[in-house]
Amino acid sequence: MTANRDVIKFNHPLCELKNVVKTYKSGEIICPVDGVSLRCEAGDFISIEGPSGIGKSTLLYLVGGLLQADSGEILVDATNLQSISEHDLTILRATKIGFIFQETNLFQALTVGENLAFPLKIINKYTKTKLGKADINQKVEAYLEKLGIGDRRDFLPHQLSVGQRRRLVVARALIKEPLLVLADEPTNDLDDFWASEVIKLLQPVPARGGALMMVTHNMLWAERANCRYTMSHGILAPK
Amino acid sequence: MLTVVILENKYFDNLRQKPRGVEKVYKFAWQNLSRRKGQSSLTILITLLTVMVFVMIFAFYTNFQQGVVLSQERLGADILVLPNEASTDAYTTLYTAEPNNIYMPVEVLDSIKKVEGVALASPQLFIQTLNASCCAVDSETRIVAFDMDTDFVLQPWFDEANLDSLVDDQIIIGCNVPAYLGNRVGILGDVFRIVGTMSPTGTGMDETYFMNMDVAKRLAATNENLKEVLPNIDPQAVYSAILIKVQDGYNVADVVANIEKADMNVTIVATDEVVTNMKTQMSMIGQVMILLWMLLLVVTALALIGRFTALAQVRKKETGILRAIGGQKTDVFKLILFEACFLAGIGGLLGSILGICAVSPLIDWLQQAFTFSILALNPGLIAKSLLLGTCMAILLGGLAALYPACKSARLDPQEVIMRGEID
Repeated sequence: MTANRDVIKFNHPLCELKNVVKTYKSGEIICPVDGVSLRCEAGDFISIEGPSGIGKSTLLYLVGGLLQADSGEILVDATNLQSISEHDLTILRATKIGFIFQETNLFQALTVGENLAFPLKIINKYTKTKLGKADINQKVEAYLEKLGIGDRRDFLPHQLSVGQRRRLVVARALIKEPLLVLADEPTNDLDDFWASEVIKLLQPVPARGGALMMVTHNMLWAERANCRYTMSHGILAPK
Repeated sequence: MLTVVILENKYFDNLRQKPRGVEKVYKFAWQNLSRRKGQSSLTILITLLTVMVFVMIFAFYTNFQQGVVLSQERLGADILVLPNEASTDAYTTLYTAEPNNIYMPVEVLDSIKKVEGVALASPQLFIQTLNASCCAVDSETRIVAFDMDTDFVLQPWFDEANLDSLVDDQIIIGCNVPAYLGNRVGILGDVFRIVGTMSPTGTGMDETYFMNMDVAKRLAATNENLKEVLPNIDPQAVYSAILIKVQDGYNVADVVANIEKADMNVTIVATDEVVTNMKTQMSMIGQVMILLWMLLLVVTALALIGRFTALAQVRKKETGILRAIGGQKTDVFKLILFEACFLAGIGGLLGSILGICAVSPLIDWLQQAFTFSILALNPGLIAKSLLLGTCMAILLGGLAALYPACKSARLDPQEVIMRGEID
């Protein structure tokens, strides 16, 4: 299930789900995650496939601590998400998890550069050593160039195309170099060229000792994962 | 081949015990406000108008109250005795400088001095300036002639100005009287030297000329034009007003009653009664104004609550993202509260400045329409109005944003990211 075990220095999985259940009660009871167990080691690139509305995004939100599981355990970097305070969970999200949401949600009043720098400034709030302004600028420049929006640094989000916004959302999740990247259909709205470029940006995450968990409908990108799963009726099964 | 990857996550063992301050929240808030100019301007405008009205009412009312108290203090007399004529009006006499040609026999003074409880009594004679040519007083203004030997009202001014008495060509002017020809002024054909300017009183004294009783009597007797205005008046035989200081230990109302008993056919006015009446009237007007303003405040508070709630609603997804990438609940709360307080504060400051600017013309206009005492705005009152207006606006903004800020802070990030603006 996992690859490159020999290159990782952790003695615990980066992320582990043990019999996780999540139900929604809106009229009828829906159970998008029904007893899911998963072990994600450092260096893993996991793809989760399956039809729309089947609970893939819910699973990512659970792993990212944005949703509380009804039962089971979710551990991220050996921290049980159910046992830590809201405050500590937020810090964990800020420092260890990078989200790429399905929708291209950005801060509308911030420029492209400011949107990209924002997660780094948030991290500065929690860490002993601060990233300097120059370091932040350098990182922002580098990511904007990689994603082909270097000339849009001072644009506001509404001045970007959908594809450009998508790339910016990806960059925002990656710029802080998180341990765990949770990508919910990151290549949505992108043409083949830019989809490929985004995947190229995501692939180094496992390579540098992190892990990537990606929900996708695209077989081409799913094939690049070292662990492939399919989700159906709340059950996660290896492919 | 074995590849060794060095784990790069530098945040791993680098967490602070206590998160750093919230300067980033403030910067983010400022970026939100400065780049949403339309929304920000509207919020500022709503607050501005409310605070402007508040500052106008506050500055006007406070100034009026101060003016009335000051008038009473500077007037010096406890009782004012005027002729019992149809045109006699205590308010006009006290608070305007309009010509007030009312007269009573000089014998009244002697009778009053004999009344029990009267400590001091000093007569005044009112004459007036006339419309004249240049370099002279060119409008009809009251001239108050006073008796240097008995006066106790103007004496403090003399002491202050180191003057023993007014000689024939000397005159004292109220603080609002313009001087002509440097320190000289032409009145009824004579040129007088201005030897003193009185401090503001907020009464008709501020626009009045004060001269020696003997000089005034001479002018009234010799100036043909003035004789036409005052026909059948023998200036040597009349006074216009008698100012009375009550003896210590006597009640003003009792002394008024004593004078009434003497049946001198005069109008007797206790000055504090005039002031009290005016204060009461203005207090009622003030209460109505404050009530109306409070209604405006409620409307504004509701409008601001609506605005901040709508803004928080529109930005729900952003709030979700902020929480998802590491913003704490308190950050969201502070963000919304800071934005609200900042906008309200700007509106409050601008509203206070505009209110202060608008209150002076308002005072001028009201002074023309009504007879009352009011002073020019003093720096202390201006500073107090600015501070109060701005603080009140910040408080209003903060209170109005409290509910939306709490609501936003409590939002479930996952829910708002997935469901967005649908509530």
